[in-house]
Amino acid sequence: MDGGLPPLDEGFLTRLLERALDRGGDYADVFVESSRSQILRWEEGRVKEADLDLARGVGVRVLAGEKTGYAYSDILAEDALLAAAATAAHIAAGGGAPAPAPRAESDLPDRYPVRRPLADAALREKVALLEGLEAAAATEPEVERHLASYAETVQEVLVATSDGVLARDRRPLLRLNCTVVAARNGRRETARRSLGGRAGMEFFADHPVADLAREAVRGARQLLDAVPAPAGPMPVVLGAATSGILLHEAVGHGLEADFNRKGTSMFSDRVGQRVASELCTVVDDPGFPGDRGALNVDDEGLPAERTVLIEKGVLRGYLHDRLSARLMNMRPTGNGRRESYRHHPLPRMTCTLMPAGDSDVAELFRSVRRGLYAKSFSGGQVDIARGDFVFNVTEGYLIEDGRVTAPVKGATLVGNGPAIMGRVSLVASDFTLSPGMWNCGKRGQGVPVNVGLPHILISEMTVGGTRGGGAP
Amino acid sequence: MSAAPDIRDLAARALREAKRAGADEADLRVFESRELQLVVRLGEVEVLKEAGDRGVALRVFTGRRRAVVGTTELDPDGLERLAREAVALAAVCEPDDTHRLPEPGLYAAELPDLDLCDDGAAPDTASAIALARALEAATLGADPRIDNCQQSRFTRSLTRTVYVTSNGFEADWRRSGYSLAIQPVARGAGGERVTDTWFQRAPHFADLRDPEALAAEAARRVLRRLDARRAPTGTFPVVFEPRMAARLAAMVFHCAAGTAVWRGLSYLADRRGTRIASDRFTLVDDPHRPRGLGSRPCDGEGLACRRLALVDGGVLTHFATDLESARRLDLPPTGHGLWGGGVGPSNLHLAPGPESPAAILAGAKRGLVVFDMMGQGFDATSGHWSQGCTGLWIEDGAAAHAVSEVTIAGHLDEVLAGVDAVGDDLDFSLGAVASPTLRVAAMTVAGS
Repeated sequence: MDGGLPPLDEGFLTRLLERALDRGGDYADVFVESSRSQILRWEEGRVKEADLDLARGVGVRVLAGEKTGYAYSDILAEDALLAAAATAAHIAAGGGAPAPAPRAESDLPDRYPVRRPLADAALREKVALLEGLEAAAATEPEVERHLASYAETVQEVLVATSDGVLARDRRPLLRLNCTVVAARNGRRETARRSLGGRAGMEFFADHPVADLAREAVRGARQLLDAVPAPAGPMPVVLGAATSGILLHEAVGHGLEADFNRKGTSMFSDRVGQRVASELCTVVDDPGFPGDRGALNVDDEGLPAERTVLIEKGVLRGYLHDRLSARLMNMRPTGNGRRESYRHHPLPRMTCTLMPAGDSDVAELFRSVRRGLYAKSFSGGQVDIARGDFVFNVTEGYLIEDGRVTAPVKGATLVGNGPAIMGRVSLVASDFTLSPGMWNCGKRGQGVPVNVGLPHILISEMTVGGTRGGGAP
Repeated sequence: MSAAPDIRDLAARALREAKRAGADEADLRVFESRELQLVVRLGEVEVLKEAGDRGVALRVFTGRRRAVVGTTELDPDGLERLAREAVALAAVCEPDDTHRLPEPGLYAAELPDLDLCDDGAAPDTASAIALARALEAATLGADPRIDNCQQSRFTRSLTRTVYVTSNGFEADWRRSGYSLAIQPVARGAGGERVTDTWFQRAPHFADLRDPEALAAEAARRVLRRLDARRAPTGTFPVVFEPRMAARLAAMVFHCAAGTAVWRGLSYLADRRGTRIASDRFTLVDDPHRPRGLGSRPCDGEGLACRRLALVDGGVLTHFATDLESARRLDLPPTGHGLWGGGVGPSNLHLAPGPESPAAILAGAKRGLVVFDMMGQGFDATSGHWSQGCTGLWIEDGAAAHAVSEVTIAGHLDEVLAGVDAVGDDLDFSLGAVASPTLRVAAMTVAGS
């Protein structure tokens, strides 16, 4: 299908904003979206199913004090959209509407430098990526099953605001997923690996699909050899790249300004205070070209910016959307994001990372007599109020006398954000971005994000496994 | 709003377009829904969202090739493009013999009226705001340590769905849904903050309980999180509160799902007909409960469904199948298909046992009560489970203090075999998957 943004002209956008403010709200915006998503599912050596989804709609938001009125419509007729604006307007109870400011189109960076647009590539070429995975995975010893999928979305957005912003963005997003089941003597293990970014088909020239398949095969076969994870508190070395999920969960969510504005985060009212070891600097950075977490403009029409959250252990600031920035009297940071036109914006992360430190990677392991090397993760979750978090380790190893030894399975890490960040005792110099695979969920809304981290040593963390009796 | 054609006419039109574009067979689902979402915080309305949407998802079959296309554009041109796009997409797929509509005889012959929709007339927006305010005020008033609130939230949805197939099946049903939720924050003596979410869901507004009762329970639940300590590391009995036991039930369902079984992605793949749990463990799926949160007159593929014990007295009796997995496994479909692929439960629950939750806790002597679980630490293929939790520590058969930063771990075989008590407190108001309190004799607990 053709897709593309619904053709709403300047004059009509102004009418929508006027209608949205006609009960006296402080601010209004119109979010126009068109998205086209395609998935190819591979199983048993062939494309088994193909899905396509096309969504177009318009969301209208009105802010009045701390209140948000929101309505949306996927019926794009003018009367339906004006009715949505009138519904959103109901949040305000006064009169005396301020006239929307004249809009000027925002000048934005291009952080998704696409050379070969996804829309221009033939379906056959996308199928060939999956065939490449199959060729590299299915014939390996002990591989019992190989499942894969190719997913792409192109989201086009237009944001028009009552304070004079007009911003457009066209956001490509692709991801390749590879799942391998390996079996030996009746024992079966699964490993899943993914990669992707905001890029075009040229992405796969730099990221050979065979490497992804080999990683999944290696992961699944290694689990066949894995021993049960130890249980109890012990030193933990977090691997570079995907371990950045620790920052996202343990720190990032607690620094989203909505929780802090409401005083419900463990970081509330702590700007300027020490919240982590002085080795820790934490940044949210939407500026890596082609990264899954890259963003030119947020979903409120503001430029997406690099924000230092923690600097050498001291809390510097929060991630804001317009509402939190206004109510906390801070500058917005361009972190107002939403899943689609059906949702109102919330402060959200983009790519959350810890920059490289000074230590040599080998030094981190050398100092550990008995501990866990958590090399990669499948996900995690946090309790914002307390800062307690959980991570699931997909690839982990024992550390014994300074050396990485047997692979372990079934390890979970639990801890408390500020407490763990206070125990970061070494930070290596090998900063790495995670492969682009993360989705972040908050209040029922999912958005693509990324994370990045060098190897770091945490002096003590609780590991949940089945082998009791403390450290191995 | 614009006059829009009835979605039943749209469905018929889209089927015709699919045939014209070259599909051998097709089915499609059209829905229209209206939602109200309301968040109150500290007495003020924070978010008021009201909207309606419509969408269609069309699945076409051409020579046993299958593709699914969805859109929000329901105009005639949009539907014609949708059909053409679907047929073109199917062409890149390879044929699979299971990719075809069911034989017409498998469709549900009757669609029972399960009373799943009220008219959505009550409450009006002002009454909904009053309800959310009353819930928050009662929660904040319950104890001085509860000094803040993340949100008090009311939602309503009304959905009509039409499902039609090119070989003659047609269903048209409406569903309403309501939820009321509160997320209070309590502050301990040392400045520690804790939060908890408590809620209720119901298909009919009349079935939502009075906000005072919900507030009292929310207050009790948030306050008991205060002054959490670490749990010891070792092997202990673990008591799962109903909502957490329901997650265990969902894990077992996932492993008994035909879709995971035929792919070898379940540790239960070779275990049908054998004992997988203690004899106290009976897992039932009941699609026809009147006013049930997970109730459905037929499954997502139009097939008949009925009450079924998937695990009966500890023995795995059935895999839950959709049409494709049933064909793969050469088993009859059990009516668990979801439209568009996969299987899912309806009203899935563990059959209640004879004991009170208090007796189950007392019987644990020294161990852990789990009231919250975080992260996804379960691997269905191998059956290994490792999970972060929050809960209460039991000493001398009574709750002694809260614990956080604790993990539980074990293989699901050991966990299920170790179920040694099932409570009498089954309640369906929290979700479509429900369970009474459950105790497992021994799991690895890791804390300090």
